Amino acid sequence: MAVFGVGAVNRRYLALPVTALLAAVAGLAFQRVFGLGPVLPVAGVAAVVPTVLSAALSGPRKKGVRPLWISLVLTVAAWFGTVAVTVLRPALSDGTLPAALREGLLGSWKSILTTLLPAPARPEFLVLVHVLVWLAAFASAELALRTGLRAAPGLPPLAVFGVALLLGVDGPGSNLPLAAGTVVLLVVLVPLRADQGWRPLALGLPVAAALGTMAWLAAPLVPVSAEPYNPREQVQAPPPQRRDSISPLDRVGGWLLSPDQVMFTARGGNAGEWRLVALDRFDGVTWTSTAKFAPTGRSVPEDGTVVERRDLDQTITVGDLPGVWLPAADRPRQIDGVTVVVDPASGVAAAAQPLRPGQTYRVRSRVPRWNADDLAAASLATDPEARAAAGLPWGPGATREPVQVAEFRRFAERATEGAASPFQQAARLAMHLRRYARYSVTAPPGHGYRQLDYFLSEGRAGTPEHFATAYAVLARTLGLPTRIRVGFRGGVPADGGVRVRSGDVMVWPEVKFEEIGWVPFNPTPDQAGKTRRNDAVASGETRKLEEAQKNAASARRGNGPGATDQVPPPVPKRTAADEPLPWWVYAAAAGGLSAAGYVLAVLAAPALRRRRRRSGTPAQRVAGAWHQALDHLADVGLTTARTLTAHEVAGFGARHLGEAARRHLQPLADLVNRTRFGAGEPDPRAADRAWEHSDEVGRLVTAKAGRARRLGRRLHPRSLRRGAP
Amino acid sequence: MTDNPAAHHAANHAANHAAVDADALAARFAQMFAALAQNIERVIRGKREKVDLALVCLLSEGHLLVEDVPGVGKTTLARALSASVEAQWARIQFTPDLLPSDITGVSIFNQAQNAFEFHSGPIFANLVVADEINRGSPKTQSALLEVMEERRVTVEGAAHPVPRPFMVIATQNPVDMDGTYPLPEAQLDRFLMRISMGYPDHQAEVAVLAGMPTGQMLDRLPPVAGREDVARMIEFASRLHVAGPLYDYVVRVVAATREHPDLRLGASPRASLALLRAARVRAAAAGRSFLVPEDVKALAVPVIAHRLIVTPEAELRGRTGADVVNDVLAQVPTPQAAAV
Repeated sequence: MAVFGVGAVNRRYLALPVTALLAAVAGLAFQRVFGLGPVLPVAGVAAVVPTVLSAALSGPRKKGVRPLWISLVLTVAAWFGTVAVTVLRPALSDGTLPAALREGLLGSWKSILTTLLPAPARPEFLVLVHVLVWLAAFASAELALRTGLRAAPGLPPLAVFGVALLLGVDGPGSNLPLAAGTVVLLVVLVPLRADQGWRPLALGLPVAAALGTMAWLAAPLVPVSAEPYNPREQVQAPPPQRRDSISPLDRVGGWLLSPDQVMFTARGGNAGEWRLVALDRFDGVTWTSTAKFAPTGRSVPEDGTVVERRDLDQTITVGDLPGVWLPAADRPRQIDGVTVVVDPASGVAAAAQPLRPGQTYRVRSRVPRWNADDLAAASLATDPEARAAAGLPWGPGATREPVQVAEFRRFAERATEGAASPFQQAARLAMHLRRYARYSVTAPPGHGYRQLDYFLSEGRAGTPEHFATAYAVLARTLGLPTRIRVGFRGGVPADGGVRVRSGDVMVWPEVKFEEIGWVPFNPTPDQAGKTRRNDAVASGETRKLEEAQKNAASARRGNGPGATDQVPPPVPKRTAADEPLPWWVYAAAAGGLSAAGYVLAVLAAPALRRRRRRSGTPAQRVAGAWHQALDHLADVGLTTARTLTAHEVAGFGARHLGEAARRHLQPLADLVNRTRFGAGEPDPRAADRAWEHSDEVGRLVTAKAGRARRLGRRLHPRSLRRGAP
Repeated sequence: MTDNPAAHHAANHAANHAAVDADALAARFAQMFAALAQNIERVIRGKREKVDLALVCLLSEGHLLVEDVPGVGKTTLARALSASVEAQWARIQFTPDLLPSDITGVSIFNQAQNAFEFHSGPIFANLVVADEINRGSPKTQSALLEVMEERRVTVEGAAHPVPRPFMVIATQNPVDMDGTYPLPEAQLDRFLMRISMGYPDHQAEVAVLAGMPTGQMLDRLPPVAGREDVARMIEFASRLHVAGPLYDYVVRVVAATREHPDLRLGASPRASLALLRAARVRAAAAGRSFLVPEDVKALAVPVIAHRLIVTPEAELRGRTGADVVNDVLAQVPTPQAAAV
């Protein structure tokens, strides 16, 4: 082990604030998981306490440094105490501390990975942050105090930073400033621990600042084509619970028969439409949902569409609405006041517990503002979800396609004959159904193939359930990816808001288009007995969308009657991002990467070699100093060192660098000869002297050859092999 | 090497102590060596390097062949050397009619005691100058060379050892070769070194002229070391530490001469032994208790060159044994610090 002087010991202690900061910054990186507020105190305490503890335990002691096990035992005890009085204080007071600790240490990572971000800052979740930061700070401090390794103390915080990045891949915000801070701290740490006076540190600080700034500024410009690795995709989500024993679709008929039941009251903004569930899977008999619900703090992830949206903030007071589904304007962004689970794909939210009358929650949504031109030009989505939503299964136990499907297809083709675009096709189908059948709340419920066949052929009357499900099946026969939504539309103004009754229940189909997502259509004719009061609360967006659909449906037929029955295949709209990059971009990138890698290698190899040479036994260090000096002298033309003796090399150095070099090379040659050929072992002081001489030779060579020439020689490929064994 | 760290540490400690002792002795050796050299330099001016080589030869218990023209100080060197170490010296002028018994001595019948009595020849001295050795007959040369190797004279079945230290300084004139018997290669190998005194430089020659006559100077030359001191120096040098890689280096250098294209005959293992022996003395003379590659390199030419036989083609090109040795030294890697 290297022997350190007083200065080296001080440097070890000086490194502790840096290691504590590194650990704290690594802890702050969990802000993408929990937000900055909850993480800040946890990371601070967990970084500082173990560092102070390690420093106190390694203080001056006559018998040397205390054994590591003492530090380990004490830090474990201190961690239990600290976590109990800080993060888990509520659990301490109500006696659930052991269970909370167990959950925090063993189960929290799974819970975090299956929770939509930002995750709620529950104490048992924060225990994970606390223990990771604590361990990193402890390991980092012990490495700094017990070893002479320069960069190793930075590794534990880096590992924790990596964990934070992985857990927060989906999270809001950016860890870029923290990453830049980590770079700065690491660059400060290494020269701080170098046993070479204060000059490396004085040089390192501006370099650290420059590197950190560069990392901060340049990182967003680095092109990243692939999605980051997301561990959540590898985690088996908890099995979807059966959220409600009765599908809202099955309740529609009943609600329409008793239309005056107050379901909920919405205040704060005009949505005109509240959605309960999305049903995207049809098995020939029933519509169900493939939603995968995950716990969330309060945020609902965005759906990735590019539709323009406006913000809407509503407070919902639950009335007689049963079940767990939370009515919310599409698409909810944040839900407060109730514990929710969310399907990230559809944005459907459900309460963790069944709703009860009087319950109030707040929903902040981003309501789409449809643009007629975008809708008209939209092409059909082709993603896996859309493909699944275009299928028509034969039904349970069926061995061949039901005969009704072919009839439905012919019906749909006739209804959309001559449509020039998928959107026009979808709009005409909706318009056709509105004209084809009439609204009747007394129609027998059901939405299987047989019921739909009856509805379309003989009954020609039904509830929104019939119109929407018929539309969905007909659209799917045309290849349009379709699902149905159950929700509420309309309502009556009351008490400063909108009172939504059971009669306002609505089922409508949605067709998925590329980039703009699921677009609702309305195939249901106006309710005969419904007053115009409902229209008063219809939102501008809804009216605009219906207007666009009417216009599209009534537009001149593109190819003329009978020109073709086939809908033109959807042509994916190519964007600039989809354009393949020209070959020279890849070639330039590959060349640039190769050049950067080469420069890094030729610059790093001598540094690594020098580090290797400075380590080991005193004899090895003396030999390393000699080889380092040979490397220096190679920059002023030494090429035959193989067959020269040490003093001949010294003579060469003196001839090329002057007598000042002789004053360092001669003693260095003597040390090397004595070390290599003498009988005894050199002491560490001899090794230190050898390196001082070698470093002086390096300075003289730099002064003689100039930094630019030395850098030029350093960039030569022989830098990679020079001095190699 | 032991696996026990404590034992390893103790061994290191002991080795370091021994090294400190050896350093002190080496320093004393160097002091004595320098005193001897300075003493001899009072009469052999401007030839410090040759004086050093002669002293190395003496302390290596080797013999010196000085190949040079007359009048450059060969005999004076021998006399100064002997005077400085308080030793006996003798001079034998080789001529074609010189007999072996003229060198070794003869047994004469003592009528009074009714027994043969051995009368020792001039070879029984510490320093023997064999002047113009190539003028002696091969038989006489052989008698001298046998004593040089065996360090004893056997007459009538009785062995008579020569005193210690024993060193022969043979001279030969490379210019006037008529009527001479050049030493065969096998016998050249018996000489530890071959040197050439060379003419003194201008300043040295002026100093010689300005100084008192050499004869008077030699008579007044004070002894610097006794024979016991010389024996201790020889003993110390023979036990000097040699690191393993240096054995390897010496063998590589010598072996390289055997494969050199300009040579008909390379150096023998005796050359390796001689080089190592001489290098040990040089190291001690530098105040070191260990050998370094410089010691080997510095002595390679005087120790090896005269043992080599250059091919006629190379000779026509003007190549000499010394050139070949320098070639070899420039090609064989030195055992410097292990690569790190």
